[in-house]
Amino acid sequence: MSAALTALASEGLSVAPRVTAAQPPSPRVDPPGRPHADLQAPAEALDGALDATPRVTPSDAPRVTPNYTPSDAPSDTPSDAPSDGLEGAPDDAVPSALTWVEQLLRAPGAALGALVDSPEGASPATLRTLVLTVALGAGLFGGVLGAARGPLQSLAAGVKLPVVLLVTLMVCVAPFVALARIAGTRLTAASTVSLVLGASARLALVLAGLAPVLWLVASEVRYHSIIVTAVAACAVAGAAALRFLFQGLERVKAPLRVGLAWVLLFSLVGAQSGWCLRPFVVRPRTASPPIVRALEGDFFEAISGSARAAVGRYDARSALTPR
Amino acid sequence: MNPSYTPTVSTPPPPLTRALGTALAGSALFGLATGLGHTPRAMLAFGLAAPALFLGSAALALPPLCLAVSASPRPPSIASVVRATGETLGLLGVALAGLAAPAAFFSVTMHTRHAPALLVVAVVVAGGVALRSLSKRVFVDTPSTLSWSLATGWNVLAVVLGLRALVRLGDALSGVLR
Repeated sequence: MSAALTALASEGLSVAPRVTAAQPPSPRVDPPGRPHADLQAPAEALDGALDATPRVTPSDAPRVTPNYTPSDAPSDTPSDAPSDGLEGAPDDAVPSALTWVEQLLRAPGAALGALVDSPEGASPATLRTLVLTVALGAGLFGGVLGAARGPLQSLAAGVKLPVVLLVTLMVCVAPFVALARIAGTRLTAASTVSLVLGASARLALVLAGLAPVLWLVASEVRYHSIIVTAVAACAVAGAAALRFLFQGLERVKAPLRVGLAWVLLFSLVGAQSGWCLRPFVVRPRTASPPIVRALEGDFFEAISGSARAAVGRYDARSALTPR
Repeated sequence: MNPSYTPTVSTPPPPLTRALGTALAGSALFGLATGLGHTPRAMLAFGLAAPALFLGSAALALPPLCLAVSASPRPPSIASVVRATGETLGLLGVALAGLAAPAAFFSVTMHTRHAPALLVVAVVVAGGVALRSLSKRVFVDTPSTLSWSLATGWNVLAVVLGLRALVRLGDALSGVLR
């Protein structure tokens, strides 16, 4: 498993543009008609990047990659180019958000550069964009997830799923920082928050991308198929987020065990916070589904109960039934 | 890879008193967070029990550690062993302070038989990682069969001492929770 994760983490690093302390950050302007990539990267790495991730770039508009924007930016920066979102100009909100979406999905290495290379982490504007991405992406998926039981459940699930993700992040940030600190990595609190938020935003984006598939299944088939499809979508999104996370940790030379500890902790907290805000998909036999169930049992009890039931051992007294 | 890249943080180790203070504060914070979902009395009890467990176990395991190190082929000074123990406890305090938020979350949201089990697992894992870290620090300069045997023996003893302290404190805390 760790070998696979290492391979995943190392994959794509050759195409990832990097900014180091020795190289002062500079605005990057890609020439027209050329995908945005690190201009300082070796040509062969750039070729590999182009082969690996074909991108479509408007031929008539230079682009600025999401990275640092120093105050002494040269005057040849095109004034009509989409902003990188780090300058905080209100007019650039939509382009910068779209640029970030594109970076997170297509060129995670470039996004990681802006998130973890600086001790200050991402700028407040970027963090806002990432939080918004998490909220909208997970909200869309949640809305589709609950849509089978009507608009109210759809709305509730659309609110609850982003809350689960964001609450889990809030609970996990402090231990993440502590673990990174005691492992001796160069991740600061700000860059840890940026990295984890970036991974969560990627998760939410993939979930949003798969929401139509879930909608298709939910409109045609029954409860258990919705569950299986939702789990599969979450697995795909989780893999994409994990890859981003481990790429970021590899970038700062953090030990693999730090990432594994993060994932374990995030999984535990996420499972429990999801359990607290259930239901997301309501069983068909439930006549009047609640928005949030009472705080009964826990996630692990439900899993162990399901495992016993899977082998034909039912415990009627302790069975968790929907209320 | 860029040659100017600095992979790790190289900060000087904190003084022993600061490290011990961090250990005390971090473990107390973790204990208080663990008791957050119970009564204030239980919260206070957890807040006292956690430092007692971690610092007490370290105090119990330190004399055998000094003995084991002294029997190794090239023993480091007792002062450096004590300093390494303090620094490891400081790092453990940082980890426990970080784990306070999840501990509080689980304490508030989970009231099943899995809650104490999860707490015990967290405590054992944290203690085990600290033990391994200290062992690597203290016995790292003397890689021989004898020093390996001494390290293993001390690790086993430290685990037994820690588990014994955990059981005793668990008994006391279960009385508070009832």
